[in-house]
Amino acid sequence: MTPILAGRNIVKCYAPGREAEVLKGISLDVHQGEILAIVGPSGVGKSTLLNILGLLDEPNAGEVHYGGRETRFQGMNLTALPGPSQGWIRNRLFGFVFQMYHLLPDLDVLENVALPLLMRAGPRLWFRGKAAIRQRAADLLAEVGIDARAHARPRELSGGEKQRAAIARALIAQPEIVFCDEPTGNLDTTTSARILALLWRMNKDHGTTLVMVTHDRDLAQRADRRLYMVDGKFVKEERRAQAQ
Amino acid sequence: MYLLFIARRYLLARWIMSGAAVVAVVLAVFTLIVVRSVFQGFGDQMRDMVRGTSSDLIVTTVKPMNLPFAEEIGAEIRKLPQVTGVAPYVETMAMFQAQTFAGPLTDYLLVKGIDPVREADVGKFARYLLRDEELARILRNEDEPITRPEDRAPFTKEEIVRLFSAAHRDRIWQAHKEQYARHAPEKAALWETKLPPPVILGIQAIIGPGRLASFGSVIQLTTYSPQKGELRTGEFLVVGAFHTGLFENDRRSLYMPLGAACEFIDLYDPELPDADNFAAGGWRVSGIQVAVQDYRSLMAPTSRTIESEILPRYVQRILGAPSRVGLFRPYTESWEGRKRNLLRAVEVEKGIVTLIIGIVDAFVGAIIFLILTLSVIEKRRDIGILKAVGSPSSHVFTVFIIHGSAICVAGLAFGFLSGLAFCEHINAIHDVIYAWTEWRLFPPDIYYMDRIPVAIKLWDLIMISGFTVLGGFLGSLLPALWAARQDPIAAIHSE
Repeated sequence: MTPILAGRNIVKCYAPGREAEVLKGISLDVHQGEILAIVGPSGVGKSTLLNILGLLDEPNAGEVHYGGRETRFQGMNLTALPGPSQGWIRNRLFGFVFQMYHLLPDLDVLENVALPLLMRAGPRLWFRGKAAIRQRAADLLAEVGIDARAHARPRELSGGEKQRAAIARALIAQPEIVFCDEPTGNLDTTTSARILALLWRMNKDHGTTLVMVTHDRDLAQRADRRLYMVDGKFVKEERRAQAQ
Repeated sequence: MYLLFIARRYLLARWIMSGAAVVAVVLAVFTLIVVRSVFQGFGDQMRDMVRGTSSDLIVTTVKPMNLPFAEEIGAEIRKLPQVTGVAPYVETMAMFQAQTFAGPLTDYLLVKGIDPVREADVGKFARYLLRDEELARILRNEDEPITRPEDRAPFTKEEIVRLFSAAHRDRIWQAHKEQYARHAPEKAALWETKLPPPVILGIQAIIGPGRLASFGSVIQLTTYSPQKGELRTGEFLVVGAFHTGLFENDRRSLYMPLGAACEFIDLYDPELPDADNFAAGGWRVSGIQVAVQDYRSLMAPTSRTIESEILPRYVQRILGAPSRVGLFRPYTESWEGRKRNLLRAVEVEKGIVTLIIGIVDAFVGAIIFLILTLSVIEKRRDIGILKAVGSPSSHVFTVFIIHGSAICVAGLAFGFLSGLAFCEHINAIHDVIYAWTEWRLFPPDIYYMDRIPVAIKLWDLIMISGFTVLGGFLGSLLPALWAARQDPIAAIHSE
């Protein structure tokens, strides 16, 4: 089965020439519909790998190949694409959930969620389709359970509410893959459980592939597959069935 | 559209900062419009007034010789098709003396001897003359603004003739002779038998605390005769007043009939070969004023025609005369040439203002640069988020360009409105400030003019808009490029 995303020999160093490699030739496959957890202690390069896979960062060497529904990018090395194409992919095929939520503070929750779709709208769609976009954002907010806070500013939300809004934003464009960087890292246990339940439900209901970075072993245990990372390399791979 | 949406949110979210930038741009545009319009108006009015008091061309000769054959030369020049008027004139500086209660008052004046009717054909003389009722109104209330010459109906030829006539002079004398009969009975008796020649004084010389003379008074002038090298003194009756709007002219010059001026300065020259050609005696004049149909296009060719075809014939005639007149070197000079120092000063001032415009626009650019740079620093994380959800760098660039442009355009619009409104009411505002503080921002004795001139030119507005938008764009460019080049991950994790 062709992976939806494949990393090949990815190398990343922040101080080239001084052997400060964060990622030391990592390769991995991400399959359609799976929940993949990349696990490891802080500082081993998990987030760097996630950012490279999500086209937010560039590797020093290696490639990221795409095998999803967008035929024009199939088999291509995404890291070699020009900036606008990478932006297009991030907007339509990928979604991101960050540990610190990263909502725009000057937009209300509904506008933050609608942002990826609003971004695509030209003048015609802006005037004709804006209401539909806002309705879709409202539906998603209802789905993640914060529809009552649609017109609040991010600073008025709790951590859990912010993360729900971030998840709704990540999902609004119906991406193939959602990259989650420590999605519960800043949340208490109860809220974390709710957020994870939400992510898992999204995966089940929408078939969205989740690539998750965490150092929380309990969270990782719930993933379909876990890749353990130490010192810039994968050292172990586990599957849920195998783990159980 | 979302770029506009985001940019608008950024503007509104930090409205104090954006508002401060808009205010800075408003002040800059306001200043530019007011300063440029005032200087433009100053330059235009200066040229207009200088041109109004001068003819397009003069025919004159090297000093200290004066011009003979004035009537003959003038008649030949008048035959040229492009010439619309010709008028001989005499010009000299004179000491002014008057007895006042505080003691003798002396000052200097420029005396201009003219043929009043022909003078009206070569300049704005007919518009400068004040009718009795307007003069009486000004004398009643000296603080009241005087109607501008261009808003005043010009004197007709009949009115001009009447103003300089013996009957008018006699009427003025009869109205004022009582005071002379009381204070200087001998003089009054003398003038009763032979009235002094009439003069028209500038309005600023007969009003205000620094007045030199009063309407209807007899003034004494002293000058130097260029022909004989003697001091000449004469007495003259002030029979009228003129107002050019050019303060220096209105304060320090007077008109008198040409014959009276020639006699006063003693320009009689019995050695002239054609002594009978002007005023039944060999009078010389300072020059001949010439007006042409379109001075911009016809002044130079007319000047060449006069110098190459008309004047050489008279030089030949002079060469046969005694040695004193052998120095005769006639030439033509344009009004711009005669006033070149003044006009150059105005041009230099306009150049300085243009330079200031550049500096102020650079200031606009710098303000926008600083505000946007602060905004980029503050919004660095937002930039990372926008890029993470799919904004290409060009969109981020555009958001900040829109931000800067909005500040610029808003500032430009409000600056335009306030600047134009201020220019429209600048003299009323000046009067209010003067009434409250007695501080004159535009002293007429320094700036030559009694009102602040304003000329709003479309080209100036286009230039100010263009440079301000350019300044705003350049000020936005670097921060916008910087924002566009932000690495999304570094930006997202920035504090």
